[in-house]
Amino acid sequence: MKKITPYLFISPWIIGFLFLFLFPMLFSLYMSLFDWGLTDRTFVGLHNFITILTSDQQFTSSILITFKYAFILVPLNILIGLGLALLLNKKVKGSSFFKSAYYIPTIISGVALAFIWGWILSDNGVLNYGLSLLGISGIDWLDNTNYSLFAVILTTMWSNGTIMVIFLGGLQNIDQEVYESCSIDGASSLMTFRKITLPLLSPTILYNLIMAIIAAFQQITVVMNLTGKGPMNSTYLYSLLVYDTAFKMQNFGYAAALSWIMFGIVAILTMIAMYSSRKWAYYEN
Amino acid sequence: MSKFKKLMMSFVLVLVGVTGCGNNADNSDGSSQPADKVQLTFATPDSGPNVEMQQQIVDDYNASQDQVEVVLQAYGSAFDQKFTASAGTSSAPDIVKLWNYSAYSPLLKPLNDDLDKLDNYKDFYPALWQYTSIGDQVYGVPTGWSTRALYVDEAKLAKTGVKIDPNDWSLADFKKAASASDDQSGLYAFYDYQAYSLESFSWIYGSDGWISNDGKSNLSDPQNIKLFEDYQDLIYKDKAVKLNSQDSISLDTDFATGNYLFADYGYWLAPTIAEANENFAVYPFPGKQGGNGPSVIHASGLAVTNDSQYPEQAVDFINYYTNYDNITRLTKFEMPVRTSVAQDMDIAKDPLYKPYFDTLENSDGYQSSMLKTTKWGEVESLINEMIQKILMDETTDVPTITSEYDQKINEILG
Repeated sequence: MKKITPYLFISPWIIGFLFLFLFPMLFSLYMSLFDWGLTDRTFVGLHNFITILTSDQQFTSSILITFKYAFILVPLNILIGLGLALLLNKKVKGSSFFKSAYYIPTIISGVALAFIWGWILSDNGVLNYGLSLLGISGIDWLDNTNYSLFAVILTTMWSNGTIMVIFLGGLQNIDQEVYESCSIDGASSLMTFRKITLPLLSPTILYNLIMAIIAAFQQITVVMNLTGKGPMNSTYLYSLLVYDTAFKMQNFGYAAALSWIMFGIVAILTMIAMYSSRKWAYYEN
Repeated sequence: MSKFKKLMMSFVLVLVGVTGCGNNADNSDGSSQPADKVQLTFATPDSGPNVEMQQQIVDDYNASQDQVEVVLQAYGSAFDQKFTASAGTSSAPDIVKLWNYSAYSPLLKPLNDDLDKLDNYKDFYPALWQYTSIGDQVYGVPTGWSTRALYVDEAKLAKTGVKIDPNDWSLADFKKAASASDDQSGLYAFYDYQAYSLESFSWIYGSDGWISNDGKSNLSDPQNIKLFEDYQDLIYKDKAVKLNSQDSISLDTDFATGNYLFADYGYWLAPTIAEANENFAVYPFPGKQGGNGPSVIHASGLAVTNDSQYPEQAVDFINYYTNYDNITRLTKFEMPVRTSVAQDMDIAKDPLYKPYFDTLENSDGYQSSMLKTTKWGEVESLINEMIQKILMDETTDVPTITSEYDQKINEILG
């Protein structure tokens, strides 16, 4: 019994992993090889993948929009999260309040977030009203092809409290003695940040970077409730395309193939981040 | 003992523990039920107070039954995911409330032989049945509906100087009045119009709709081209249209404050706007040359799934749900599907609702393209895309793009 005990402890996770993660994942791979409708399914081999990669214009369009979204959102999230963490790491009065204040949006559901920002950004919304008081004519943030994606970016960026908290944890793990040595050696604040803080924080940056990339590619809740596909499909993110293919067109095999292609793209981006981190991430050991 | 055996034994112990926590005999409220009582599940896509009313009807039904218990499952906005997922594992609910019969009919039992069991099924508005049927097969019993009609601000209409008789007016009157405003306040329209909704105008212009009656894509029909070109003119030449997204809808506040002359919409927002704006009225659609035009119908109904082990009991519940008393109760949230209820409640004479009832009668015999193909999801997505390209870009050449999309859609239709 003694020898079984450790396995007993880990078995709920393993059961969960096998039945709720691995099995659905492999099953979706199986589905991707079929023309899988509501009631009928026909084996088509790699046909879904070939169609997606060679002739599906919406796939190309959604991939480009999602890359644009990720390439703007991820660096902004990292920079703002790091900036906030640096500010909140200062021992000043009221920092606990600000930690909570910046983190609270993270616990709000994506649906509520989309409704709040929809109200702020709509044509007759709070933001345009505020701008009109300053004599500035507002922008149709949600319904203009040039701005709608930025409206989605702005909304999702608002809840980057998790990144901030992880950075804060990373900053607080840096040994204060290193900073004291720098101070004694006469290093400026900027040099201390560049030569000490950034290198020692680099593993945390890598973690946040990978998580932010994955989150960006999986974004669906906010975009679905804020703009949907958007004007001229300008916010038709990849996850929304997968959702529509499965649940509006009932083409489950094709949607599964789309999901696996997304998995491949995210895996490649993660590998690039991991590989490149050898040159910029610093590990003490 | 090998590691594998230990792991397997651990799994078994945990699984036994987890399953031991469940108890099929107990209801969610803690009460128990006789083992031989038939349990039916009823899934609804609704949420909020509408579901509360549905729960009351379910509770009343359960109180009247010894052998059957219905359990309401409010799927809400996740209806499509939950329903398809449950159908995929052959565990779909017994009864579902839905509107998309084109997509889901393969999962549903035809109810043709059960119609006689319904409490006077001829009392239902005839036009509604075509929206819960595919071909000759009836899959659902209607529970609610709305046609589309025009929201009108009569104060703004008076300023245009165009005299309109709501019961006899033409497309020319409509365009003349809408284009009289060059500040984009003539018509509140959607750039992401659902093809389903805009098809009313295709019919009014004289076309068969987006898909012809012989099953081919019909976007290049001269009447449809005229419709799209008129829209482009209203938007870019006359500058009479404000294009909005259906996702960020502010139609109620814009009409409540008298900002727009026309909008094409269902009855859903009319009561709220009427309370706020005394100049607000609803007109039936204009006819092509005069009279009034038809509309698509947004109809929902109850259906029995193929997975149901108790189809007879399910039909019995549907019969109860759609009887005179319950349809009367549901008028708080739905337009009545029974003519007798509409007459007894005088709702069809209310100026706010009358245009919808009149349009419902005008629309009998017009078949939505949604019901002409089982691939409507893919087809509608393409038509929506084309509509946006036409409405949002004045340089889009309508005959060229309609022909291009006809080709794409015909490939899907086969």
